[in-house]
Amino acid sequence: MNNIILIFGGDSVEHEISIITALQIFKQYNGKYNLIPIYLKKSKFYFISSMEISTFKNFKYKNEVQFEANQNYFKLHHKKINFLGVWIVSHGKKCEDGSIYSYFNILNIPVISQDQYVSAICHDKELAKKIGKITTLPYFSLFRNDIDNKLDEIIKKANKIGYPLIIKPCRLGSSVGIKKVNNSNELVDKIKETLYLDNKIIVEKYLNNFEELNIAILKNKAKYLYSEIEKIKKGSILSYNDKYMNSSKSMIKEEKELPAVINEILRNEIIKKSIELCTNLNTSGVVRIDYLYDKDKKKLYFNEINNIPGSLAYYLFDKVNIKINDLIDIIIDNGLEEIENNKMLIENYKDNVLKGTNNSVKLFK
Amino acid sequence: MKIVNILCVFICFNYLHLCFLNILQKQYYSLKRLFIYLTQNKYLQYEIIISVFIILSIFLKIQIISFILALCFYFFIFKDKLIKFKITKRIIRNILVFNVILPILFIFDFCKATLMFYFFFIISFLISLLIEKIIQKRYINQAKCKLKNIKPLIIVITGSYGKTTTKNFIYEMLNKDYRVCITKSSYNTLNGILITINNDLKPFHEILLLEIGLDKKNGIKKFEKIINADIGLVTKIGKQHLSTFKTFNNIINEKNKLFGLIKEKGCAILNIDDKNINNPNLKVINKTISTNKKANYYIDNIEYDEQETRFLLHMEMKEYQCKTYLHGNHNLSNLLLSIAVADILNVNHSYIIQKIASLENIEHRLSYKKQNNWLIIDDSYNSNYEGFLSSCDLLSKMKNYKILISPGLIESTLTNKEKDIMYKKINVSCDLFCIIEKNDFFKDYPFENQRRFNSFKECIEYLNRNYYEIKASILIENDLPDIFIK
Repeated sequence: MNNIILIFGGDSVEHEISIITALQIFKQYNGKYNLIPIYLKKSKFYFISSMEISTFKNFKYKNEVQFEANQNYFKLHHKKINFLGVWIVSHGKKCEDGSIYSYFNILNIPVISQDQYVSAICHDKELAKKIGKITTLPYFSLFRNDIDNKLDEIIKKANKIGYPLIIKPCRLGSSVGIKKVNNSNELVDKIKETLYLDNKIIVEKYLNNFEELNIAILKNKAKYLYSEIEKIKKGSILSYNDKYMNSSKSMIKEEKELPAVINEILRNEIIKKSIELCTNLNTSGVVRIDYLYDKDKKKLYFNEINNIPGSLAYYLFDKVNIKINDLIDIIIDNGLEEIENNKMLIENYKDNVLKGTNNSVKLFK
Repeated sequence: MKIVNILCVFICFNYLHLCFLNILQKQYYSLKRLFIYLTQNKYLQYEIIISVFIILSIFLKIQIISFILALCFYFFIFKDKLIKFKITKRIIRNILVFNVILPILFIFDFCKATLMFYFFFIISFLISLLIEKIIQKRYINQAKCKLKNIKPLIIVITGSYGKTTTKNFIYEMLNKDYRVCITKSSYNTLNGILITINNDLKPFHEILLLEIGLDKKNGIKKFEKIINADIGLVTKIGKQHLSTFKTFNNIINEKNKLFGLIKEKGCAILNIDDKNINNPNLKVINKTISTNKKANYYIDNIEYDEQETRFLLHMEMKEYQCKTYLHGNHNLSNLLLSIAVADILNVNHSYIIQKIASLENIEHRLSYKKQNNWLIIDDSYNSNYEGFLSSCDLLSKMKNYKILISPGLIESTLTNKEKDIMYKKINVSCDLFCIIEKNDFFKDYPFENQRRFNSFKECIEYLNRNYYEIKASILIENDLPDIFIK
């Protein structure tokens, strides 16, 4: 009766992280909802009967599931399985950016997630900075065409910020494709290289001496709850390899400090800014916000916001006494409530455009 | 020939059946009430005439002619009975069952069969009742299972009147801090509650707010199996549904049994203004409210004016000065009940005060409307004696010309003494009393400030002609059609 579908996987670079997140959720959760794992791979949905890592190591494409429009159930071996809603926990492009949300939205199946607007804004590193109204490092963004048309302008902008710079694909999750540019000679080449990954690129100031501070924010009944802050100690920006490939055991290997040892003023600043950001973006569910702290200038910069954070950032909430069970219950409760509220919205206005159009109106020439 | 006969009986029976169902629907699906209705309206006499007529025709062998005549006769006496017929699932079920058992009829001779309509009608009604019971049993189990799963905090409300208003007030008070599932509009029967639990209650809900209507003796028994409440309250006990309860004492006993639904260490909220409300359940904590004496939650220093009511609110130990747009004493005690619930559930006091100031009455339940020179107080949903008097009080406090429009109370049995008090109150509180003569309620109204009309439309036309320019307060009372004000 309380079935919730857990959608994970997806065809992004963070596909495996999503599997780990789903496994963590599935193994540790025993709350009031019954989670049904559905794996998204190569644009198809598969029902997973045994949630083990080995299942995904060599995945057999079995138990495909089809979702039908307007139906709150799917069929598995001719058996109907009802569900209350679909909950998305897959990361990266085509998942986290609101695509899956939109897919189910069109099918008129209730989805528990950020809606497509918030997802898209959070996913786009530039939009999040612009719309979130929050202090950031100096940056500029460019599209694929700009490299041919406005090359001079780009170099001018880059010079203005000053080298070294960081180049990131604007809409790719994790730390994929992040490059450091030391001087103007490298700039164009590296930009072109990055354009293989994404059509939009963001160029940012490089910090020499910094710490990364992360906080997670959870929405509960029109209120935002904050988690503990964690500090990631590393002198330079992480590459995808650093972050995930080297680790043999867990996905989080970097030197972490949890709870972060920071002074009270900074702590309060982070909490205040984060809640402000979430209010501005109107996020729902859980998000993780990453900040960069410049140790030299003692200044805090917003780096990025993750609308479906890895592991749901449960390890951060654990420290403020929101256990994973409560966390998931809160997310699903609020998601379902939002769905109910959305149902109340008036969607169909009776219009008489077609009725009023008489035959004499020429629709086509 | 036989086929024609069969067809004729089939059509005739179905037609009759529809007519009877329609009457039955209006008599709340009670066979007893149907029987009383039929005898009172002389249908049974007609029926006997028709039966004699048919029996005669058997001997005279003019069956078809007699049949057609009988059909015409039926059509004639029932022709107004098919208007405003609501096709519900229950009606469809009845029709289906009736048609399924109808073929048994054809083992009988055609004419004898004609006389057996009542038998078929009752049998089919009983069978569909049985089917309903089975379906209901399933719904009850489903609801029980769901409640066990979700475990919401349950608040139950009953009372003779003011249930829906109180329910809405409580919902408004709790809505910010809790996720509340509420019975839709005035769903207050067992089935209505089952529908709410089965369809509207979602796993994320924390509070289930139920309005329970009790209209007959031992009606609460059905609820006992399902509901295990945390907070229970009785708004007020009046003489509603006296015909089914038989005595006023029965009503008091039944309504007070609601407190038995509350589980151990739950909370009962008692309105001590009403002497009839008392809690027989000793395992629960009692909280009291009052509009005129000391209690856990009470108000004093009440001041009315045209716009708002101001009062001093005492909540346990604390005091607050409040104002509200609500009027009438009965509304204030409804408000107090909701304040008590909100406080018990730890809603912020400042939020409660803020809500008190913004609560408004639902339309037709003592709501205000400005129309040109007139202030229209619409209380047309009201249908109880105490509410009527309290609204009259309100009207008498108005400063301009006072008009009261009412067709009288439906379904109430007032003693002569009570009626006397009512008449005197009307006389004091209004300058013009427009009586709509829909029923004979105000037939013996003795005072001179009255004017009688046949319909509401007539009354409004009259007021438009004569009082259009005058600043007036118009109170509309008791079950009027709601199309009138534009």
